[in-house]
Amino acid sequence: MKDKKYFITTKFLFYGILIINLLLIFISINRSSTAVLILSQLTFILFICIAWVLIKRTFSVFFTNLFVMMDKMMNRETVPDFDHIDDTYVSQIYHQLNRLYDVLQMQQNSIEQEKSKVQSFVSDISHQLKTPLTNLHLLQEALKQSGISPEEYQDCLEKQGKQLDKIDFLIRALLKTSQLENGLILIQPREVSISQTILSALEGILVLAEKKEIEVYYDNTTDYTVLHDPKWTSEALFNVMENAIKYTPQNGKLTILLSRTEKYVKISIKDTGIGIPPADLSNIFIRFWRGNTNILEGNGIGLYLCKQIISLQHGYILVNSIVNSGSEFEIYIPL
Amino acid sequence: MHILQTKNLKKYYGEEPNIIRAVDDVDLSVNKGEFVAIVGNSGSGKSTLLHMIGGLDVPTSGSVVVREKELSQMKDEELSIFRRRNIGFVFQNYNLVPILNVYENIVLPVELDGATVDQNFMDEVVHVLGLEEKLKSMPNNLSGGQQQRVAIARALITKPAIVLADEPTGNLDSKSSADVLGLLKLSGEKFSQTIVMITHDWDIAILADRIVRLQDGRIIG
Repeated sequence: MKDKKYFITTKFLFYGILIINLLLIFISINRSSTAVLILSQLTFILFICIAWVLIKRTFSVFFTNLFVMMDKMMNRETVPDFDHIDDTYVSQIYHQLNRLYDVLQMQQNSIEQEKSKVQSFVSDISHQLKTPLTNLHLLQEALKQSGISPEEYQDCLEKQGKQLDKIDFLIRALLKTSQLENGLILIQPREVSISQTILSALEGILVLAEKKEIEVYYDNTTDYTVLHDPKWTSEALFNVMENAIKYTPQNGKLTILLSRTEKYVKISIKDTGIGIPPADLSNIFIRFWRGNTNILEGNGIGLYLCKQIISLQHGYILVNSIVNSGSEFEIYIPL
Repeated sequence: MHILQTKNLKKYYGEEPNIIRAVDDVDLSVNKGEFVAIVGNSGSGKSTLLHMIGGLDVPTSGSVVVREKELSQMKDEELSIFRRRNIGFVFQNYNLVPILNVYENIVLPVELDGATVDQNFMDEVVHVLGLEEKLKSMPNNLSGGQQQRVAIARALITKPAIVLADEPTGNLDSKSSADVLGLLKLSGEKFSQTIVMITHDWDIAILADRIVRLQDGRIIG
């Protein structure tokens, strides 16, 4: 605040010099008196001296403040607030310096977040694998026991098979996510037909849909050439479609519509399933989050993976859902 | 690392027994770089909350702290400069100046601050929002979605600490909404911006990193 006071005093002094000197010069001309003229010169010099001292003070306070700020920034500490918020350049410099510090801190934070994401990912993997492994151990123990009937033996083996399937499924899904997460996979966008991508995703779910007698509708007459990674985008679409089938009862319907806005191409995937309660909507894209855990199997990876893939291509996903009536996933990819 | 914090924020209208608690004891913290959606029905106090956060309205009690500065302790002039530098607004009805063309509308807040336009940044913002072809057009000749994109560009050009968006797609059809939302999110990520968006629409809120639900002036999770 000190520098502001000095600054204002200097400003007043400056105008003071101007007015008084003009007055004295005017008087000296009027009376043709050299004494007054000399007086005007003397006051002028005096004012200049005082102003000089004040300007020096202003700058020294300003520079000291800057020095303190930069020092604190280097130590990553909280920066003291010197900004007095007005329209001067000094205030603008304080502001810009603070913003620069903010932006750098934000970038630092996001790097650290990435790091902790990878760490939590590793701990997530071990956690997810624990349950089937514990089950396998128990079954193994049971098999070791002497005197179990052939039926029990068979049963144990079947159960073991299921647990192994679970582990296999988990590891494959986890591998995919970890590749995305750690940036091991590069999204390789190409200018290709989006309809082809949708069709290749559809291929993957047709068997599932047939099993549950779910009617799948897709009109491939409209098509756009979109800059996207066909392989990963198809993976993302497949995950949403697979989910839709999973949560849609027998004889349901799955509709896929393709359209465009000014900047995006929109792929809408609409089912007649159980829907998502509004309170859950913000959670569905979180890794390992599961809504209805007791009904169906799943691992809470599909939608998370889908969001990652779409975000990496600067697209985004919206969800409309009505409980017991159906969900619509709208996937937007920039044109 | 909070960039924005409200403490016991209240806004009451009228007097007992007919008092209306538009915002009732709201504690909200927003981290740097976060995209937060505040969802509530009409009358839940979300607009009042946003206006107080942006220093456009004065709370009955409680405080709003933006970048470690308390808004209520600022003088009017300080507040208006602070707002211009740190907060970008996007309104439901765009609020563009009809007699200025798109370019002039976008650079207006920079010129008000007496600063020079960072041309590279300007080009980048215009490119991200897809407004290259429209710079010479007048706002009235643009579609609603395009006008809102101009408003977003105007909010971003001063590189504010926070962008506050009040039902940014409230007046738009679903196609234009899609463009505006996608670009709002994209520009937030690209220019490390903190965004607080209010909406009544759950479908839109899902775009944010975090959803805050507001009901009868209170946060309910």
